Amino acid sequence: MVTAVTSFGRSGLSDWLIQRFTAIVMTAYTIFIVAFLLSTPELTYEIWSALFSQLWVRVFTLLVILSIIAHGWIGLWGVLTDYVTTRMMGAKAVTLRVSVLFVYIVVALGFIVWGVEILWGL
Amino acid sequence: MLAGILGLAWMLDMSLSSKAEFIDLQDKLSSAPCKLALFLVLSALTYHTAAGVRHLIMDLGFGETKEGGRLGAKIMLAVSAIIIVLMGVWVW
Repeated sequence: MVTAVTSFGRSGLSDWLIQRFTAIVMTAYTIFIVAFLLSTPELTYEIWSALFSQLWVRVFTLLVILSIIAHGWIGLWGVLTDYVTTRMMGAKAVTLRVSVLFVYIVVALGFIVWGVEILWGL
Repeated sequence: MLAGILGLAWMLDMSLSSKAEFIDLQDKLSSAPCKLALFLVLSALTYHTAAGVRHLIMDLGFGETKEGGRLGAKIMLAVSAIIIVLMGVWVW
């Protein structure tokens, strides 16, 4: 059994649940943005920045950014533990898996900070 | 797809930072390479989302048999193909 040290949640089940929850959040957001874009054919800067100046849209977008990161981690972890295995490539599999996840975490943290800066225009 | 999402974030950053940047983004997006890149990223996201929604449906207990799964896969493929084509028209 793969030691679940690098997985996202406390257990496989919590990962399963988080992945579904974040999927629903992101899908809802996608529908929201697509509907908005389709309903405003002549999109201008004023309309677009007005949309994102509303607090609930900013919070929703931030929630989506966090969802992307959690969803991505769980998905990436699943792929890595399926394919980057000691059975396939020996001991260096663990090193490779851990370093890929490490890079992911660093990019994810940067993404959160950047996201806040985009939305709250620091 | 993860890189694609960072690209979309870059677009959001540009589009919100100022009117000039918004218009600059509009100009950039009217060029063929940018349109192609955007189309590919959005196609990957469309397919991924369609397959994901299908999984959510299966989690609810529908289409879990072999036949149901096969049918669900075909419907999902058709739906994502249609959305991708429509999105392609919208992007171009």
